[in-house]
Amino acid sequence: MSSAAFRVPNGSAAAETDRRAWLRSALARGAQAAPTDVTIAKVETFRMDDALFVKVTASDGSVGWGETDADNPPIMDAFIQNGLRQRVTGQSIWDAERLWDTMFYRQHDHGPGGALAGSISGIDIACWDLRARLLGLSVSQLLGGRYRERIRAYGSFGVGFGRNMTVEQAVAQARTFIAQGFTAVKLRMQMRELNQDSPADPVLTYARAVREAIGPQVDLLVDINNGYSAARGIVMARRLREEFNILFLEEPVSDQTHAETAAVVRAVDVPIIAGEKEYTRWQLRELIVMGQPDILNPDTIKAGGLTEMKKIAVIADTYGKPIICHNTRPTLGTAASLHFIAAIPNCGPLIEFVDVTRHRDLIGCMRRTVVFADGHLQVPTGPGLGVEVDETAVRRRVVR
Amino acid sequence: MSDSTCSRRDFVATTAGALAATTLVPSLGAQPPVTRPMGAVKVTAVKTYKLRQALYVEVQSDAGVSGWGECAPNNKDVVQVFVQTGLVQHVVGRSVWDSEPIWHDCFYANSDLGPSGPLLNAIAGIDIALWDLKGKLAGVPTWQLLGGRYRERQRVYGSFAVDGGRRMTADQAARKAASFVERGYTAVKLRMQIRERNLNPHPDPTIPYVKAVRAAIGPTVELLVDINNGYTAARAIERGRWLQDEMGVRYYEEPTSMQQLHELAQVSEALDLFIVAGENEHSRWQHRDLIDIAKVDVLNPDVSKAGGITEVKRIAALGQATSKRIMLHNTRPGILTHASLAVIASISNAAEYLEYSDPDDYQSLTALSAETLPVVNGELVIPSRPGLGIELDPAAVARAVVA
Repeated sequence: MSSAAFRVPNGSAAAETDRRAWLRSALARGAQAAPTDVTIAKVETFRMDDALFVKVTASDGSVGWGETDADNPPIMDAFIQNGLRQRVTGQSIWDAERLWDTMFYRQHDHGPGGALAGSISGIDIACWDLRARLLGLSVSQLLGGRYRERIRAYGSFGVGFGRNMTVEQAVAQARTFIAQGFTAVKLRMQMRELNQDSPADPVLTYARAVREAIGPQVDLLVDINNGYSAARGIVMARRLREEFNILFLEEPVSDQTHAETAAVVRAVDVPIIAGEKEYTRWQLRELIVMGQPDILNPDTIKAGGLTEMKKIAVIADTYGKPIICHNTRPTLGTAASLHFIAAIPNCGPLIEFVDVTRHRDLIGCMRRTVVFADGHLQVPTGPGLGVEVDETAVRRRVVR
Repeated sequence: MSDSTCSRRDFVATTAGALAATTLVPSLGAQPPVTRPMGAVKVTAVKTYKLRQALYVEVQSDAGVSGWGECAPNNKDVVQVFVQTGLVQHVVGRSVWDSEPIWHDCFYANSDLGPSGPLLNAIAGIDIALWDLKGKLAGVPTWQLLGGRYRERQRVYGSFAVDGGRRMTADQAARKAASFVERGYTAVKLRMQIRERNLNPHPDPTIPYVKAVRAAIGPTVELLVDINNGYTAARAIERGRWLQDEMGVRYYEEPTSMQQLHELAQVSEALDLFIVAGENEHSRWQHRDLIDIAKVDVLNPDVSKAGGITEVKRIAALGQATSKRIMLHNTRPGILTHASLAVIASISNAAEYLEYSDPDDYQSLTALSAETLPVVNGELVIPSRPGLGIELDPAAVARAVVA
């Protein structure tokens, strides 16, 4: 630290002495900085049947919690325990982006999306929770500030291509959402590529029944879950729009064929959503440039966590695309998504949410969780993610 | 944020905060420090300081701490009025932590005046000041709030301009380049400043100036060449080959007009040089076009032009998604250099150099702070003091204001 470079043009000797004294005190003050040296001491996973929580403990004893994708908790658990944990332990808690890079580039021979991105997400979210708590801020404040304090949610349910839920059960579920205060619902057909263009396609039957049950005022979204070719996707998008006034159509075609997505987007007026199966900035950018969907729905606990979602939001905004978070986990994952949504300009404006009565045991593991009221999810105010885990309750639900 | 659970770290309880409230901004010393959670601190005022060589912005808070920012120095009068009449009302009264929503409101309230140039320069000054302020409040370096640190020092190139040959002779340019090397710089950039209004000059001053500079610095020092938009694509390709083959140049900046992205794409596709552009593109959208249309290799946004730290972080994310490196444009020692270093510390795709102008040419600015970052072995050390790590003397800044 050189002081010789300090020059005072046209200054009196007395003024210079005063200023030097002031500056010396300022420099000395600045030198004793804040909790810059806090490192990651421990990464623990808590695997339940319906969730995988991640707890990060820092060298000063501070704790942060995160959640990964629950598509296959044993695999995510193993990835964190055997591939990622060792890479971040001992590292500065503050190096969010470098930690992300380290986890990703050390493991991406296993594929750059899916399990790796989901596993990184859990650690990344826990680290953001911890960082914000160290400063006494909410995560959204640390991510650049809050554009909004609440976000309208749509109630989401899947019918397993007609196998998991009858039409009557789907109607009952939609009515439950309305009773809970939702003003929008999403019917997930879960048709998949395996049933592509099936002649037994029940989507019109389900959409008609759900629309009749919820009435004309509630917004209806339909998710095909990748079940059509472009040609059939175009036909069905038009019918669903004209006959049932759907708000959005999600993933009508395979997520492996962005050109088909683009063909549907160009042909129809109903906005097309895609992005739950794209992970990281690179895959979302390819989806935007090649698939050209109207709206993106990356998932905070799948696509790489809050660090990556902020980058995805920048790319989406730069190409004029709003984001409606894919969001299927009722506690930590939803809290993380709410802080993300609060901190980006290009928000849907909607977020996916679930029927909480189907997740009572998991929600019971929280001392404080997200608040849904008047059809909206409220962005928690912090500290950190603004929700509190009951670790004892979590431990009782852990499976081995 | 009235939630008392957030006040785990009451702001005034921190060492940096308590001292800052009484001494960092002497002009506010009469105000009692506000006891409140750090997350509830609000902006109270935005001040601009038009100096001979810069336009500084001070964002004051109700915690008694100020953050300092800098707008690009192109037409300081216009940008100063922009800040004072177009932006201040979107900043005062807001949470200091809402730097992104503040950016958003400043931009969309004024974008009818053009989504580039003075608007983005003006936003930059406020945004940089907010990031300085947030770091000071938290007692951490700004890069720590930007996602952490990838590096502790940054190599610079010494940058100087010849105004198409009018400002200095080739001999003088050679001496200027050699003076950087004598002070330890390992790279220099020759800015030809040919400009669109002097397109494809004949004879081309680039040839004698590059020859003179290369002879003065020897074969091992990196020589970057900036045409400043003076060629058409055909001439740019021809001259680029000569620069690469005969003069050992690797970085070739803005050879064609900033208005002709397709011409720049022709140059990018024809040459193996690293094509650099971005000082005249001031938003994420304009940098997207540099990437997608002009196909440049390296982006060089300027933190004091391109909307500040918030926007340049976004541009860096775009670069990360498209394998583009970021080599920041940076023409001022002081606040701007500190802000540039905060960004560079926190991005994975920083290029090997940061631009740095000769601090001896900006003594009216370097006199305002406790120290000017020294270039050691061609590198700047990234500051680790709270905020941007620059300790300005506010009274000296106020005295340096010009009409």
